[in-house]
Amino acid sequence: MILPTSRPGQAQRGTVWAIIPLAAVTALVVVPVIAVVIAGLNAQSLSEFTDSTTWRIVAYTAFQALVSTALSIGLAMPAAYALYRLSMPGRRTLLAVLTLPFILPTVVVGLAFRELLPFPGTTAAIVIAHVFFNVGLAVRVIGSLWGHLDPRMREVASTLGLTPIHAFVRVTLPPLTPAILSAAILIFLFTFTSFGVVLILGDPSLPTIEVAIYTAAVQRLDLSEAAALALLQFAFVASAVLVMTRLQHRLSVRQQLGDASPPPHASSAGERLAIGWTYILAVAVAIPLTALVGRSLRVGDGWGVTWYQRAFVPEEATTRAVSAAESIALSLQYAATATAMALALGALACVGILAARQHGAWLDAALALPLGVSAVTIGFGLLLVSLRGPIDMRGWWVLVPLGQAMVALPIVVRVVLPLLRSMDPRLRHVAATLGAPPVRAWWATEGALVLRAFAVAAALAAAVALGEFGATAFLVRLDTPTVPVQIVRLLGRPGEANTGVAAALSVMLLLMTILIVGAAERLRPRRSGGW
Amino acid sequence: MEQGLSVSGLVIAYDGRTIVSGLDLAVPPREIVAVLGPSGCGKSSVLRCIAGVQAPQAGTIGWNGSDVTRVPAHLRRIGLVFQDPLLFPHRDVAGNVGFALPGRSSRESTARHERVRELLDLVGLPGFESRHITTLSGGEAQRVALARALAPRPHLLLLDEPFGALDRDLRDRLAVDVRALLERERTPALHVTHDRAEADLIASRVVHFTAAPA
Repeated sequence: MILPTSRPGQAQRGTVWAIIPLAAVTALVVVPVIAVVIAGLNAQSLSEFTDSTTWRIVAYTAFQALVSTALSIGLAMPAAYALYRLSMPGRRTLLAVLTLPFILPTVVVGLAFRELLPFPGTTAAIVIAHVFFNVGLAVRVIGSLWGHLDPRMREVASTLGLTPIHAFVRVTLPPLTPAILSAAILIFLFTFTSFGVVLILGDPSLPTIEVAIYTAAVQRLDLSEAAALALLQFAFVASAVLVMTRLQHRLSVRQQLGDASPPPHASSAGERLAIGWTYILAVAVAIPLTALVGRSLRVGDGWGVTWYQRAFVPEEATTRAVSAAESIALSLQYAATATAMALALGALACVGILAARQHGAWLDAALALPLGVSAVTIGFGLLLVSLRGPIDMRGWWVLVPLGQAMVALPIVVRVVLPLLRSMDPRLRHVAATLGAPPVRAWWATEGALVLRAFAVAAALAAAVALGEFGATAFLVRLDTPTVPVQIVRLLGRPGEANTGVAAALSVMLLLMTILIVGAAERLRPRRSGGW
Repeated sequence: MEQGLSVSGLVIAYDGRTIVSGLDLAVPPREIVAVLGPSGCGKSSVLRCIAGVQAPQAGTIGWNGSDVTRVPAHLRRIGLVFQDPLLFPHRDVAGNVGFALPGRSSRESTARHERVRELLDLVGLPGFESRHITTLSGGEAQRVALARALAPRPHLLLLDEPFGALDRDLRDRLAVDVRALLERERTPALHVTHDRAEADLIASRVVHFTAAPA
């Protein structure tokens, strides 16, 4: 991939490569959404819009998302400061622990908290799980800007007579606001459309939109209600993103970011508190995962690997019993296919966005669409298309990895694009003037970096595909469940054995995810930006 | 009791390496003292300790006879102008200069406008109130920083090579301006520089630092 280097500003021929990922997003996200909209606009579903239950669901969804977002950011702030502004022992490990939840499958987290919390089935349980998921994301997004703010600004404020609190509010907060809003937009999106967590931890009589779509479409086969809800959700998410992006634009501060200076040791009581808080947060993040492992090993009053054995050799004589080996193999196969698709589409998208120059922002936004459309809507829309479209696609296995690839695509773009953008073409020119042939010059300067970025993107895409539940739940065939689908199915059945096997499967899924992302994280170039 | 600033036995170390060992220094009221010394001899660190944004390893910092070594920076009323202007990027020029002035009530707000205008006149930037700080030249930005530091009427102003990044001509002109300004505001000052001529222009007394023995 040779980056365009000629005249700035003008879109270049490479832009055409973006047509392929755009077509994929259109076919697999836009068309399904339109299908949902069309299905949602019949007379019966119009009545859903005036139904008070519908609006109660919308209000509750927004409420839990707002609370989760505010808490995630509030709790992340001291840790972001400590991790990016102060030197503290174990910084890299702490950051890794705090970021870990973000890549975990939602159903695994849901189950972990169901085992841990004395009050599952409440709003508090949902909010705690959401904070667990997103606090690390907030720490990374906010901290990486905070690390580049000039610490002397605060000193200026204090020599002008501002108390530490006033200095924080009036000097530190304003330039941080864009990062805080970025984190808030992402977390609001994730928690507004959160599915696995709410399905497992939520109060069944108090669903969010996402869960209500699922129960309407899959359990009650009420397509018009599901369509109405999906339409509402899309409208709500789109307007929320629009408002917050506007706000972010208005509040953004033109500022010169310094190089991250060598962080000093904590010097005030507040700074020591921030460091202490970071350790507490990391421990708090580790607790539910430990609880999950504990649950998978607890058999009756003792301990053992019974549930792991049972996962591989299902005892029940029911037709739905699927061996863990089978569903793991299937999950891996789907995830590998989805990763390959997401990488190919993501690479083309990056080339297109870079070649489009300043028009690239539009392409970027269009290709990020799957982030804004919930996975359940994508899955449901694809299901509608396959039911009512010109070709009967029901049972096409390729739909599953295609749906997963759409969910993973924006993440691939977000990992690879900042690195490609940050690369200095002059490096390549320097190598060329030193006598390196073009291919070697490219490899020595950019190639290795690009390859590494793709490895990280591949791992994240694989983790997302492996744990993906929202879209997969609609598309997967009942006799060939992926691991997350199988976990949720087991949790829906009574009995200690089913929960135990679900916990064992969750631990295996957890380990696979950590292994994949951990391997890639070792390759990750430091300070490349992006996620 | 007017004694001004008195520093005694100041020790500053980074990671176990002592860069200032046992410094004694005094700035009498109304006087402008310049500190001359090569880079890396700890001049900036001394100013940071006096301002209170950094804690010394040992020694005391006194103001008018009372020990302020443990007093937090925001209660010391000692202004500090850094090498870079460090203007707040989310405020315009008036917002920066009037940053530390109260402006809640309409009377306070009027007084603030008045003070900002007065200071901008004094630093030679009349009418710059609503300029965005990214449109300022280096010299203009440093003048705004100076006005901002003087706005809350500090007991003492510390200047850490504030003209280091500017060219010779501008530096000399600013040095003369600053001296006039400080005398007019009746603010004592401690001015750190490595430029002999600048020190002579601005100060009534010049103190030499030498690098600490390794």
